[in-house]
Amino acid sequence: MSTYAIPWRFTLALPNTFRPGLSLAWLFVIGLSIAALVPHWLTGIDPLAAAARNAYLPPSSSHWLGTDENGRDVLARLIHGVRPSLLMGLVSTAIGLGAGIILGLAAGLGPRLVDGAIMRLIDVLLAFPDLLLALVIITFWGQGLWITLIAVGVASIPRFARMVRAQTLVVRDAPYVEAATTLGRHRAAVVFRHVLPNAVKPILILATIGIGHNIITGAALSFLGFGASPPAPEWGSMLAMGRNYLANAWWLVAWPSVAIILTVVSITAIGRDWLARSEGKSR
Amino acid sequence: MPINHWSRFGLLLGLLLVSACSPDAPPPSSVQRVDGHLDAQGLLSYDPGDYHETRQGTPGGTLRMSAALDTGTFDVHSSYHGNVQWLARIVYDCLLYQDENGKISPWLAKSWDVSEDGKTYTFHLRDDVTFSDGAKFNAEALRINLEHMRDPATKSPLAAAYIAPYIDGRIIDEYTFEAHLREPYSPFLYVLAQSWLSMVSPKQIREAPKSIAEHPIGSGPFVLQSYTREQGATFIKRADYHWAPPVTRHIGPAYLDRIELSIVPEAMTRYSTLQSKRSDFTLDAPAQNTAAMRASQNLVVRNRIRMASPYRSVTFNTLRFPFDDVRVRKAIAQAIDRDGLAWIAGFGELLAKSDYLAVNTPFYDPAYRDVLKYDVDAANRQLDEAGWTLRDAQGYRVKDGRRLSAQLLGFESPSFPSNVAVAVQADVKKVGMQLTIQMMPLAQLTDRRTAGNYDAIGGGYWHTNTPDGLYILYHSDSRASPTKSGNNLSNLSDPRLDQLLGAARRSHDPVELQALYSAAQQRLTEVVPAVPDFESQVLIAYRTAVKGLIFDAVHNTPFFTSVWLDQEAP
Repeated sequence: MSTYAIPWRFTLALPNTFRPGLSLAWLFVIGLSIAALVPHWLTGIDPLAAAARNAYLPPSSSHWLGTDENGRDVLARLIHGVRPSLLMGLVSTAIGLGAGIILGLAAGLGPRLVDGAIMRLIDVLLAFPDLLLALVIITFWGQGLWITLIAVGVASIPRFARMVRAQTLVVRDAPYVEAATTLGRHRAAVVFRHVLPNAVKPILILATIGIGHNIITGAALSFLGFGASPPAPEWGSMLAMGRNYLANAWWLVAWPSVAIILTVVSITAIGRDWLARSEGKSR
Repeated sequence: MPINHWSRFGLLLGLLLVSACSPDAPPPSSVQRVDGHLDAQGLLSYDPGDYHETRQGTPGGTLRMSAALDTGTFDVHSSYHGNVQWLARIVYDCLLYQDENGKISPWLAKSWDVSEDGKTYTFHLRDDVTFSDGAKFNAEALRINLEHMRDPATKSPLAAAYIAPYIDGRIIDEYTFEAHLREPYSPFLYVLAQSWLSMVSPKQIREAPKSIAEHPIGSGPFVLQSYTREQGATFIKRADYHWAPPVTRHIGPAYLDRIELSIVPEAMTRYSTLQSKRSDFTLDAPAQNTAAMRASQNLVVRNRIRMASPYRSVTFNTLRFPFDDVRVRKAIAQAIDRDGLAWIAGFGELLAKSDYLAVNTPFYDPAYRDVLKYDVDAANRQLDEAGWTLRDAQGYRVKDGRRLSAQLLGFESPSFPSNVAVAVQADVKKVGMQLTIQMMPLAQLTDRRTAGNYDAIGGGYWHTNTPDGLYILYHSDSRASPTKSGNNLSNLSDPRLDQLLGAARRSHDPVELQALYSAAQQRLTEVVPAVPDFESQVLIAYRTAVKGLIFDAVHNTPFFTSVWLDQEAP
């Protein structure tokens, strides 16, 4: 968190300082949300309408971003691919965050034995790279959108659990918690009214950045062939398919890559901005 | 930053694209890129010079080559891998060979006799052939090899089936062997020319059969020096080799000193290493790069057709709804745009196909090549006649409250890439059928195949050097059962077809064979057990410095004994 130190004056003086990068990021994320909710507002082309004889056409006026290996419009597929990508980022982060908060709180507040047990479990999970862990889960429970979501979510639990625990340990000894306890508040009330909100707030912001991370993991899984089965439009599988044709149809790889990069960069930029502002305010 | 256009021009874009959607392009230019000459009747002939050496080469040098897949074993008797076709020719020899006209010709056997009843074959063997471990090739070696092929411990998926009618053999003298068959089986000599039935050292089979997989000992022009699974292999020349098939007109040992084979699954890498001269030869030239390779001064692309069964887009399970109705099968065959499939999978390299034998197979009859051709109107009519007249809200046909729907299983492979599956799905949707695709790992697909639990299976080809490939794919004896494996995935059981293919196995008369196989090809277009999509083709590419390449008359794959390197070439 400390690696990204922005002078507080800069972040607080937002109304006076126009930041084009951040505005573009917001604009892009709004565009993504529209594409995820109502893709047909943005394109009238069916992303599944295949016509083999139209395959591998370069970008032109009738197919702005070209056509893919089945003669489908790449732009339409990109737009319809937003929903699974965002869903992947949001739902899996929610799963990771939810489970991470429960485990982190239990570890931070529970007796030493519980703390030890939970943290060793987290250490074991951390020993696996995210992607590998997700792959293991998919291998055990089979393929499918929901399994993939859960797999990516579970893979992100350790990160959140550790952060929640660390925050909890800090907050636990804070004067206001001590005061609440001394005043005789019920233990559950102390946990949920005082510890949880204060421990989780910085983590919620970090979770925004985690969304970007999980979108990449989801795309990587779909690139490896563990995503939705064809012909569903998905950025990762579009990339996987396109890489075979790099030398003769560059647009098959270029557009999904650009889409993934811009999405992740935009979400991360917004997350960092929130983070910087929350740190600035707290100072 | 084209994507920012979305948010700004979204609505405009939507409107524009709806109106700008162009109609289907005309069929992609069907440039004849296959080797050989395809005549007006649809028969293919190759230059005889493709099969024999035309000038002497310069010995020496190392050929660096790449292939997409590893066979995983050098025990060719226990394999059905396609790469065995060329790989086995490097380290092994076969009993027989074929000439450029498809006639059986000598190799390790000098001559042979077939008895009147077609059940006894006598082979007269060469007496000067040795394996690289010093063992002699003789009648006993031949007997041991045939035993090894059918030994249950070998788990042979191919060789054993090909010699199934073989009962036992008798050693008449050291270099004369008599094989006894249970019933007349005219493909016998042909299958003995195939790479999967190569001759392995009898000493190794007797003493260490397990070691054949990684340290094979053959009598071929090269000896395996090292092999690392999924990475590659190195072969070195055998100096005392002098028994290349007479048809190849090659005398003495191979020209190359070494062959270094790398396994390179990534198509882009196979192409770029060739282009940057880091390899000399690729056995799996990526179709998407052939246009660039053909345009290059320093590269040569060859495109050959394998005999027997072409690639199939779909094989129907004729026992299951909805493909138990031949009218539905026929309609689906007519609904699939084979030219489109050939384009997306082959970039103009693949020949679209709608009948059941490759154009260069002996007894191929082009008369039925258009019976199942792409015709959407005919497909719709067929389905209407079959009673599928109503449509549901999503546009799919319905009959008796049941939607015309099936599941297509597939395994991602060069013969059936997932975009071919998707194209098939889109084509049949246009005539009102729903096809869901399930791509799965090979092991899972094999389980489903064995259990007979499928509506339709995508992909697959069957290469053999006789039209008897039809028996293996479509005869009722070839159906799988709990006790035996089989390759009749369609579960077709058609008495008329059975009778034709069975009679062809018993006949040696070319006129009769032509009549039987023609009738069988016609019958197949009536019962439609599968939808062929394009010819099973071998695409290779090499640098112009590689000279003297000839093709195996049996498999139409490269034959490396006569290959040499022109050291002065750029």
